[in-house]
Amino acid sequence: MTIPARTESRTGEGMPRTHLSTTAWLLLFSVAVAAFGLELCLGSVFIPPGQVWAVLTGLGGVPDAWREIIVLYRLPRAFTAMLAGAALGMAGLKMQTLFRNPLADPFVLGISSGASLGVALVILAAWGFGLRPLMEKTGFLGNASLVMAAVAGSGAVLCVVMGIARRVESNLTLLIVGLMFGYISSALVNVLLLFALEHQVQSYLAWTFGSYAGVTWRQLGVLTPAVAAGLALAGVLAKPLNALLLGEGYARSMGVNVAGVRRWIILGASLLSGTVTAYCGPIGFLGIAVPHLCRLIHRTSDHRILVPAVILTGAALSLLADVMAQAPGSRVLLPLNSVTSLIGAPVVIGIILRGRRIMEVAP
Amino acid sequence: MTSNACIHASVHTAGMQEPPSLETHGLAVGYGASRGAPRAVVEEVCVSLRPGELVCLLGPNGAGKSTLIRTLAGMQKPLAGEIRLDGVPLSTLSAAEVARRMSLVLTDRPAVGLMPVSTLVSLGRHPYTGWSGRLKREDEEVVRRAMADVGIEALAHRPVCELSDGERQKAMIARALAQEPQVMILDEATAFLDLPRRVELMHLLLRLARTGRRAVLLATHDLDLALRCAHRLWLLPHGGPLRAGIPEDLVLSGAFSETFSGSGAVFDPGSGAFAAPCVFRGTVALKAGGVPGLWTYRALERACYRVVEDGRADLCVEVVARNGATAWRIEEKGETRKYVFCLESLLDALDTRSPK
Repeated sequence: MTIPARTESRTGEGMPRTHLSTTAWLLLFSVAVAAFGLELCLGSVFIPPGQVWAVLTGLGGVPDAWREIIVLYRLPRAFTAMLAGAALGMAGLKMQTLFRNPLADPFVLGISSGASLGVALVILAAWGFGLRPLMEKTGFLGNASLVMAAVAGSGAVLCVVMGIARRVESNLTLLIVGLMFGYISSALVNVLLLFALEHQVQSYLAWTFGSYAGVTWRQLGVLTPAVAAGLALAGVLAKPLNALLLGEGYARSMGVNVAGVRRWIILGASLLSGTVTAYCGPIGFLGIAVPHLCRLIHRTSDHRILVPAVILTGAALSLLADVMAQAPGSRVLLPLNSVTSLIGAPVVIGIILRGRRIMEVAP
Repeated sequence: MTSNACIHASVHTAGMQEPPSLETHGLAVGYGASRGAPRAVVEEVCVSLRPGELVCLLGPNGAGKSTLIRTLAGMQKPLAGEIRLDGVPLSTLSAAEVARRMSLVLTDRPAVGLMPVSTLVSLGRHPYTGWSGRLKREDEEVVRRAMADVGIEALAHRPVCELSDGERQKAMIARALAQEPQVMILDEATAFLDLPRRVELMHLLLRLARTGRRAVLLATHDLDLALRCAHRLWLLPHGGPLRAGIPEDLVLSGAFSETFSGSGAVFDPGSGAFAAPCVFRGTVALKAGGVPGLWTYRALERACYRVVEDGRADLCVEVVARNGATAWRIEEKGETRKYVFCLESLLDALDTRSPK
C-alpha cells in the first residue's frame, strides 16, 4: 500500500472518487438488469432470452406454457427478489446507523424471531391441537396462513419493542432487549419443534430456508406498497440518519428530535424486514452486507448517497443470489439463505480484510 | 429559590458589557429529575457567558462538571432554576431553535468512517437546511468559512477516519462553528491531545471567541492552560458552590487552591502551578536573575528546596560566569564550598550535603 499515492488521489479535487462512483452506479445497474434477465430465463425449464423478450414485449409465437411460467411465476419471483433485497439492505442500514454498530442487521430487534415464532405456532401448534380439519376447511392452510402468522408474529414483537423504545433512553439497552427477544422466541420455537411431527418440522425448516418463489401477484400487491413506504421513509430520514452518525448527543445538539426519529427508524426498518420475512422467510446476510458494500463502493457514509445505493445494490445482489440458488444447469434448488451466506460472506471478508477498517467503515 | 436571591459571582462594569448569551438563575443540576428522588450535584448556580468570552470550567473529577455542561446544553433537565439562552428561557425553545444558537463539541469519537471532512462540517448546517439536508450556496459558504476559521481547508476531502486526534477535534469544532452559534460548549474537548495540540486548540478557541463575538465554554482538566488563556474561570469544587471570576482573582483569593484541595496535589500561587506535596529538605537563598535564575529556581523547587531571602537560608546559591561559562557557586555560612557547571551537579551537591 503506497500511502502517498492514495492520499494524493483523495485530496486531488475529489475527481477520482466521483468518477469511480459513476462507474459503480452503472456497473451495479447492469448487474441488476442482467440478473433480472437471468432470473426470467432460468428455472426448472430454461427459456431462451429471445422468447422471454417476446413475452415481456407482448409479441406472439411463444408457447403458452412458457408464457404462463414467465408471467405467473418468474416475473413475480424476480420482483419479489428485488423488493426483498432493497428492503433488507435498507433495514440493515438503518439499524447499523441507529445502533452505531457494524454488526447490526434488520433482525437485531427480534422482528424475524417474532415472525418465526408465529410461523412455528401455525405449522406446529395449530395442527397439534387438532385444528387441522377446521383450518383445511376454511382454506387457512398453506402459504397465505404462513404469511399471516409471520405478520402477526413480527407485528407483536414490533409493538413490544416500540413500547420499550418509548421508555428506554439508551439505544444499547434497546439492542440488548431486542437480542433477548430473539432468544426467547427461538427457545419457544425449539420447544414447539420438540413436540412436532417430522413433516411439520420439515415444513418449518423449509420456511426458514427462505425463498422468493411462491409469492403471487396478489401478494405482491401488499408487499410492493409496504416496501415502497419503508424505502420512502428511509429517504426522508436520510438527513437525521446522517446526524445520528455522530451519536445521539451530537444529533440532539443539531436540533434532531432523537426520540421521534428513533421511532420512525424502528417502524420503517421493522415494516421492511417484517413484510419481507413474512413473504420470503428469514433471509440472512443481505441486510448486514449490503450497507457495508455500499459504503466501500461509494467510499462514504452519507445517507443521501447510501439510501439509493443500498436500494440498487440490494436489489442486484438479491437477484444474483436467487439466480445462483437455482443452480443453473442442475435440477437442484438450493436454500436461498445458504446461497446468500456461502457466496456473500467470503466476498465481504475479502473486501474488509483488504480495507482493514471495518469499525471505521461502518457507523 | 427565587432569582432575586441570586447574586452573580462576578461584578460587571456597567456600560461596557454586552447582554449575556447564556445565563443561569438559581440553577440546580443533578439526576433523577424524571423519576426517583432527585439528587442535586450542584445547586444555586448563577453564572453568565458573554459574547467574545472564553470561559473554562474547572473542577476535580466527580464534582459535576459534565452534569452542569449537559444541563446547560439542554441534554438534561435542570432540577431547579432557569437557563436563559440569548435572553430566552431554554425550556421554551425548540430543539432546532436551540441548535441555531448553541453548538456542542464532546469527547465522543464520531464514528463517521469514510465521510469526508467537508461533509462532516456541513452536518453543522443541519438546523438550517430543509428536509433533504441539501446545502444552499449560503450554507456552503458558511461551511467553507468554518473550515477556514479552524484552518482545516486542506483536509476538506480527507475521510474523517484518516485524521489524527487533533485534526478530528478541529473538524468537530468546525462543525460546531457551521451551526453559527452564539454559544459554543466544549466538554473535555482537549482531552487525549498532546500538549502542543492542546495549546493550539486553546488559542484557536480564544480566537474564535474574540473575533466571532461568540461565547465559548470549555470544561477542561488543563488547569495551567486555562489559567493562562481563559478570560474567566468557573471553579466547581466538590459539593459546590460554583465560583466565577478572572483567573488571577481566583488564584489570589485562594478559591483556586480550595477547589482542588485534597486532590493529591498542592497549588502553588507563586508559580501558578500544581506540585506534588513534598517534605522540604532545606532553605536556599538564590542570587540570580534572568533565564538561568528562573530555571535554577525551578530545579530547586522540584527538588523540594524552599527558596527564601538571603540571611535566613542554610545555603546560598549564586549564578556566576566562570571561565566564560555559566557556573553555580554554593556558599555556606559566608564561605564558598563548591563551584558546579550544571544544575544536575548542583542538585547532587545539595543532596550530599543534606541526605534524604
